[in-house]
Amino acid sequence: MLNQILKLNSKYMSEEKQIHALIIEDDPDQVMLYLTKFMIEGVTTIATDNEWDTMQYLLGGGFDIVLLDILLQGKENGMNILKTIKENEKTKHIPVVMFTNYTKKEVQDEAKKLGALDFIVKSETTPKMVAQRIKELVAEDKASGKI
Amino acid sequence: MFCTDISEPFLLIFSKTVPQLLYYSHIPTAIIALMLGLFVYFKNKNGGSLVSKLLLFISLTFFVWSVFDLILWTNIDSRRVMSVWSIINLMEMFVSISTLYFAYVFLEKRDTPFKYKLIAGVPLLAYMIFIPTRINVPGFDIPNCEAEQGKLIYYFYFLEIFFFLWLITYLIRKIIATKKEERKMTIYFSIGAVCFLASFSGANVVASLTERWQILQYGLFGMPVFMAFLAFIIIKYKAFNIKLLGAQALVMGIIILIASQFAFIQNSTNRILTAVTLVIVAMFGWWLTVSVKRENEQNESLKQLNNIIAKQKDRIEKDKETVERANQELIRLDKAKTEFINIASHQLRTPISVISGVASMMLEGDMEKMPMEQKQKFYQSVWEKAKKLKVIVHDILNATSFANKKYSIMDQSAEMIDIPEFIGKIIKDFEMEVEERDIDLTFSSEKNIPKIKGQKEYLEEAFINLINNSIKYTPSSKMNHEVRGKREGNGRGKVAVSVRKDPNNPKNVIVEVKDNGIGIPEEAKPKLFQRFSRAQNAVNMYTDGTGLGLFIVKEIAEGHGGKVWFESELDKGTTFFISLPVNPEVDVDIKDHITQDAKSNPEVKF
Repeated sequence: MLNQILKLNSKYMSEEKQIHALIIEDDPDQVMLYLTKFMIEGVTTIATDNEWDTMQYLLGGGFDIVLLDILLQGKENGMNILKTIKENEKTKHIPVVMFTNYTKKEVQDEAKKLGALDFIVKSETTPKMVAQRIKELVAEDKASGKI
Repeated sequence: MFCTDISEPFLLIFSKTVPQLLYYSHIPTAIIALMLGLFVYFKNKNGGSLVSKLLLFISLTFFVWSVFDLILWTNIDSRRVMSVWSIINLMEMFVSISTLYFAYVFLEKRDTPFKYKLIAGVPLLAYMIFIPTRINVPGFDIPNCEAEQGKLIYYFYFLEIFFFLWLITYLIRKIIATKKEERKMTIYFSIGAVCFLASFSGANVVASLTERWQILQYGLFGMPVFMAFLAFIIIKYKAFNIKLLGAQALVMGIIILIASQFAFIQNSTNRILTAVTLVIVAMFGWWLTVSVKRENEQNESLKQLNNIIAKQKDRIEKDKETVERANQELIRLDKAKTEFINIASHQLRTPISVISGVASMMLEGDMEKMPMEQKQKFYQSVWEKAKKLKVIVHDILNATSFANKKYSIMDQSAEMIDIPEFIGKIIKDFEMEVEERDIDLTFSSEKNIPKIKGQKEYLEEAFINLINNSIKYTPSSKMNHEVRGKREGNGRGKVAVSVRKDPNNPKNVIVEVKDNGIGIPEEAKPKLFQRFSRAQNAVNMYTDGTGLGLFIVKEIAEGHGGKVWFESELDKGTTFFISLPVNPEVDVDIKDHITQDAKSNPEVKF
């Protein structure tokens, strides 16, 4: 199933208008849910669940936005990944949105400080609304880039 | 036979034909000595220690000696004179020996060794044997009104000198051996003791050698000197554990000395002057005593006050510590609670976000576009998340409510449970999971395990929690999306569950859950069974734990009259034990149990 989606994604990736997103998420149910809905909404998405893979994809280029979960497997942690992305010259310009159910106030503040554009709580929204927000943010980012 | 040199005495000792200085030298000194001896003896808080007994003995023998000496001076009956004459030297010997003994005990603060007693006692005994013989007193000298000196007197001189030298040697060695304050005290004491014996015995020896008995009277004044030193030591170093007022002793001494002047004053002018002096001294003395006493009492109450203040301060410090500790515990608990709420809300939100996400897609008509197989996967995920949500809600509600008798046995629904069979069934439910995780889960049981009375649903929860923990926190070659951490090195992850009778208590059944997992770090051990408590290595391995599982296990075990404990070594593994009584005593009131727990434990638990 995941492979199917990835195949579909790679087909869409070549098209110019498509938005390309990277989601870091370790729950297979959620990966399936968001990848499917985002694809329907015209956001091509690839999923990873660790820092190393994330950086490989981002350094490869072509991603308009990153959706980052916080509580991940083992020693993996979304906050650390955020730091790594923002410390790397080649990736720090990519907009990052925290996308999680972990709502600790301090963590939200910390994420904003580290350069996260937004903090979306999964249970407070729907996949469609998230896709919409992604589009908005990417459009804003592109507009500011042109100016 | 009666002497004719002087007249018959009045009341045994009072005679007008003897030198009046005699009374002045004998009576006050004897009385002062006796009073001091009695005072120390009766005021001694230790209830008559050896030192105070010895001091009393010295003063008593000295007193007796003084009286005897007066008898010898004043009496004319030869029989009386001779019998007193024969034993007066024994009294003197007693004074010498007991002074020596006293010095030793006073300075060493313990009794003398037996060998010293033997060295002193045997020659003394030998002397005493010869007292009633003619060697002591061969006859009576009528013209001088004296007994004749026998050969024994030389032995007596020898002993006196021997004891005197012994005392001096001992004191000198003691002075050399001691230091600082104690040396000072030893020196004062030595001066007093030596002056006393030197003047008293020395004068006696010289007097009987020269037969000039007047010398004796001057010798007697050594006694007050010694007593003065002793009084000084008592006050200064609080020897004898009494609070003797120096002023009191001094005043009494002066009054006695002045009063005794009446014994030999001849003219009436002097008598009046002495009487006036005595009254003035007495009044002044009384005033002095009272003011010193008052000051002393004030000092004492000040000291007591200081003591009370110090004790209060101590208590306040302790209270402060307790409050501080309780506060720390509260802060820790508060942090744990906040952390729990963060985790718990994450736990609750995750399934909700999936369920509502899928539902929103249904409303938006996305499902209709999907192939059947994919639709099925979406529905499955909703089902799984709903189930998970149920478990989380159950856990949180269980742990956060103290609904009365939450986990204890209720008679109407308690069952007799065959533990091996019961656990066997639970283990089966784990088969899928251990296969997925690639962990060996084994079960063994002793035969003839008695059935135990309990609540099935609670015991099931306790055993599931323990086995689940062991599986979760034992790394294996495979991970799943919930549990992280891969086994390093050789060997497979193993969880072994076993049931046996408690060897210490045959009426109890022990269930053991043993694993070779990550183990429990030392710092997490004491708080393991508290709510929201999670070890750091457990958090790393499994993010989502609530820290409630073991708390629930403990409540269930105790609710069944049993207990739970563990043995663990970091990176080697952990073994949990639950001991349950076959027939638990009437149900335990959990609420009561917790209140008791809080009362008996100064650390605020919850």
